[in-house]
Amino acid sequence: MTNGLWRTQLALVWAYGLTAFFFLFGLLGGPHGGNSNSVYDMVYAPLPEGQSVRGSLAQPFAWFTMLAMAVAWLAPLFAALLAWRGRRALKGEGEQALRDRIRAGTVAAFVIVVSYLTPVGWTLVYGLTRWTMMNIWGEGPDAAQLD
Amino acid sequence: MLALEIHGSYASGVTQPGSRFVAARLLVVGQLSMVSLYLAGAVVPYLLNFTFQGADHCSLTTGCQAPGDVFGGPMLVLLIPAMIITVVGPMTAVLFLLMSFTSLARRRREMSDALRRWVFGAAGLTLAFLVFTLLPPGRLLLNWVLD
Repeated sequence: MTNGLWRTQLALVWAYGLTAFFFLFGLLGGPHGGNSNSVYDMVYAPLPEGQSVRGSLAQPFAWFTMLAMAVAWLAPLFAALLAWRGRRALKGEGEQALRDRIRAGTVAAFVIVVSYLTPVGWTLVYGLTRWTMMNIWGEGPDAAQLD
Repeated sequence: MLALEIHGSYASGVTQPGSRFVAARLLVVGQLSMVSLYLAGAVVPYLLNFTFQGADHCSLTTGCQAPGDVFGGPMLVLLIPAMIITVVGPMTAVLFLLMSFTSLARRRREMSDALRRWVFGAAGLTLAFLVFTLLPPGRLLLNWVLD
């Protein structure tokens, strides 16, 4: 039972939470509401004069989406590992304050694993992957025919 | 390190006062005010003006009515924060939940029973708010605000 395990579990929870944050940002459009960079607008909004239908990594938000995509793919592996290690650590002896933290971290890791057995986890993976691809390659060869 | 420094500022023999959990209390206040402003400024007005009249904000006779078309005057004090919360609230809720988790995982045993219940309750309410905003009624409210 170590403080390192708790730190890793906390980092996992925050990484997963920030992934959900960037997913929602992409879905709902961030502070500008429906007026910029939401997926809805990527597909349906008229393109401003002179803007390409091809994607761009010029805005920082596209990089965050890509980072969140990497976390969304890797989170279930790490969560399973940390839940297992947490369970094993809780069988041993340890200081009460640390036990409390690792118990909470282990429960959270289980919740993250379980979220990948439900549409929540798949949606994070699917949405963030698709938007990353759209950010890089744009709408694809048929983009001109979309309206 | 910081705790040691604070400790050092007390004269010897003076007991250090217990932590007052200012951050946790502020977090609870933030979560409760976010959810109650959303209810008072977006959900209830929509229910009273449209749902209970058997309509929604887009009708054939009036076209689509944005919140600003329906309300004015002092109601705006409630309406403007509620509109902001409707748009950025789901993302904020994720960050609030991460903070609640961190706070509860680290120090729930040191909190008083009442404070622990408040933190758990506010986190539950925030989760309910997050889920609601992603369901069809919540999306309807978002569309109303974005109109």
